[in-house]
Amino acid sequence: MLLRLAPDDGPLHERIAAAVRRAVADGEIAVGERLPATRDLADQLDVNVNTVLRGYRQLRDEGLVELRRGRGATVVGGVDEARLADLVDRLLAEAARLGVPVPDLQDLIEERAS
Amino acid sequence: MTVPATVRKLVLLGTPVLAVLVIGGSSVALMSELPTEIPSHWGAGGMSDGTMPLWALTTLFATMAGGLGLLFQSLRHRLGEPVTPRVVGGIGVGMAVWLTTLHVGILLAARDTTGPIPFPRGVVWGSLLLGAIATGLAAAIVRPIERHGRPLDATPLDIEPGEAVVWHGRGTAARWTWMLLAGTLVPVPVLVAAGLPWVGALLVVVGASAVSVLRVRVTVGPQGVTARTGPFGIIRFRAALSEISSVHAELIDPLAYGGWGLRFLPGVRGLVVRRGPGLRIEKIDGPSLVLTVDDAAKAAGVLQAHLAASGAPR
Repeated sequence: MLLRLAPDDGPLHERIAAAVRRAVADGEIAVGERLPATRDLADQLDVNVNTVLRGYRQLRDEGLVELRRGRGATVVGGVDEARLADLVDRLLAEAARLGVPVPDLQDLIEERAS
Repeated sequence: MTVPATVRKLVLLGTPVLAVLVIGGSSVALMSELPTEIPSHWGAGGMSDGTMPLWALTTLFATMAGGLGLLFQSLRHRLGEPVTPRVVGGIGVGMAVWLTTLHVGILLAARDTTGPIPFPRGVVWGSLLLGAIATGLAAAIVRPIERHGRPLDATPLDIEPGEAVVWHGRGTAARWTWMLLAGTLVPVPVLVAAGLPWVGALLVVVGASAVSVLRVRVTVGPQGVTARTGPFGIIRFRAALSEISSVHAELIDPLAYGGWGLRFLPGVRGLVVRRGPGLRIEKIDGPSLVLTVDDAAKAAGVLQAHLAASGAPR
């Protein structure tokens, strides 16, 4: 599986969670697959293990992964939610790049939906 | 093991020749103490029920030991690479040793006897053991084998500035390997019932240890590569990006690395759990790292991109 941590300056655990979400949304990670061990991912990203764990916990709270001692993080479902959340992430990132404030974006969404 | 070519030739070709000399020599030396007919076949009762004249027995053993030994050496390089030279060369020497010790052992057991003799259990098993040891030792000195398998094209990958890309994958042994290991557990209940619980326990421990290294998990990222195996992933292989000179994916054959599992060989370390795609990582200093992992082409692409991005001259 390929995890791509986007080059932005948000909190690292958010970027890790977003990268997993995107990978799930893109079909890069399937249900039942295990995420890298926290210490290995922390090693590769040169961050603290707790930062990775925080990102994984966030994904657990979203229902995307299951965390179990000794077995690490396994993707258990919530693929559609992950795909939607990833699309929102991309939309927000693009809006931020163009300097469009979030309320304007909301207006735009409501306009399109009606 | 790297040994001078003359030593290698002497062992591989000399052993079968020596076997013929020892088989013939022992027959001549022991002739006066031996019965005219040498026991050559044993029945279910444990006593010999067939015999052969000494000259026939000697000819048979000498022909097999020398003939097969030399035949195997001549076939060594004709049966395909990379494994066969070792297996064939080793077996040729091993058979010569096995048949020689068997011949001498039978003659010694038959010395000063007339009529049937009991099955020489020690001779039969001892000769097999010696033959097996000789096979292993001889195989080890056969010309160092070509380890590089067919290269696979790495999947190219673009990394944006500031982006951190991590690849994670695993390699698992083939189904037959697991079944083979499961098979080693079959005698355990029998051993326990036979009052040998410790042997049974030892078998379980050996089996479990083997199972724990038949799975590898590999993480490739901006810092290099980490691989884990063993119970709870306690065995770790690591190569920092700064230590790596090059990386590529290739087909890996366990037999070219002397077998399955953890590999610690001259110039190469790693974990080989199956035949198939794997990563081969060459280090600037120190042994290469070999890891059998699914989708190795992609993993190699990620690592190559990180190497290129790090910009260090290599």
